[in-house]
Amino acid sequence: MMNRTVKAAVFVFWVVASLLLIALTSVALAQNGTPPAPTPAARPPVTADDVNRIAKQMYCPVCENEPLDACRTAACQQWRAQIGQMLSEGQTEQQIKDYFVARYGARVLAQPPAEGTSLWLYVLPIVGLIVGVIIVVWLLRRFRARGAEAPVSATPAKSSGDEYVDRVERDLKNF
Amino acid sequence: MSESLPPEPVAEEESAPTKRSRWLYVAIGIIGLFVVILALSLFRANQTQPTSGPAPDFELTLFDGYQGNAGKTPIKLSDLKGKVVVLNFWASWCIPCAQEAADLQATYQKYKDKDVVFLGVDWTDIEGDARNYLSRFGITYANGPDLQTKIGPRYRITGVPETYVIDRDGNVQFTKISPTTVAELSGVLDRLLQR
Repeated sequence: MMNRTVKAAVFVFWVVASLLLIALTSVALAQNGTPPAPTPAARPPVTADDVNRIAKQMYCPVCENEPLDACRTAACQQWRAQIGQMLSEGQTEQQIKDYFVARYGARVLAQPPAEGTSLWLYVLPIVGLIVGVIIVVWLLRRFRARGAEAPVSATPAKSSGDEYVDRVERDLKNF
Repeated sequence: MSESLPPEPVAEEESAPTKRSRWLYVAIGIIGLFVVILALSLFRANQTQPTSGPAPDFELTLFDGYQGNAGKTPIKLSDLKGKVVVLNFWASWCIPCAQEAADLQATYQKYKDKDVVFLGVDWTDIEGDARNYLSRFGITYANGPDLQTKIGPRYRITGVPETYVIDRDGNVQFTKISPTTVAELSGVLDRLLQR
């Protein structure tokens, strides 16, 4: 009889323990059991190097001939801050450059785009080089041709005394 | 009877001196061209802000909420013929601009109903900072950014602030390359409005 009572007690204990475990697990799952919603990957903080990587490709009109990353004027500090802001918003290097060009003109770029009037900056040196090479080649050929002609004209032919013979000799030489 | 020889054909080639002089002219021409380009560049580099004569025309797109008494946006200077225009170049990062900001606004309040239009041109600035500046100084006259940095070079500005007063016929009558004041601007505007 005693044995049956102990067995029943053990059974009840296990049932209660199991129910308790299930209940606790449910509560735990209800609190934070659902997996967290996927969040966009946290962007790494924007560093001064990130800003300067773009800034060194730009020039601010306030301090001409000094790249934006090196210029210490208040205007350039604002521009660098703007680049940092745009980077932190996730904008790409090209988007940032496009923004500055749209607002301040292509002159802000260290390397202006090969279009419009800036195209001349790329075309003229090539045209100049081609024209220069043509002139040099032409001059060299001209000098060489003169050099080849020089011995003929340098030594005047001796006259035979007969004008006709002299002319034949001359024509033969030039033939 | 001596046999006469037919005349020797005359060489068609130009004589050496003629050729040499032609090349001399070409060389002088090329050098002259470079001299002209150099002179023009120097002339342009030495040009200063306009102090008289026709004011260079431009188009200014105004900031939202900053149309002042300009009437519309974008506004062209040539649209304002018949009115006296006060044109002020400024930037939010410019400390001397802050010195004259209150004076400009006060002068605007004094003359805004007397056929005088104030135009502020925000030069090489960030829009957010520019708006903060306008709001900090309570500026209400027409203001807009120098988009593509086109207006500043037309007036050959060397920095900010710079102020120009343009008469009813579109001629520059006053140029100031440093902060201006209510008294100074009032003197110019009174004179121009009496004409």
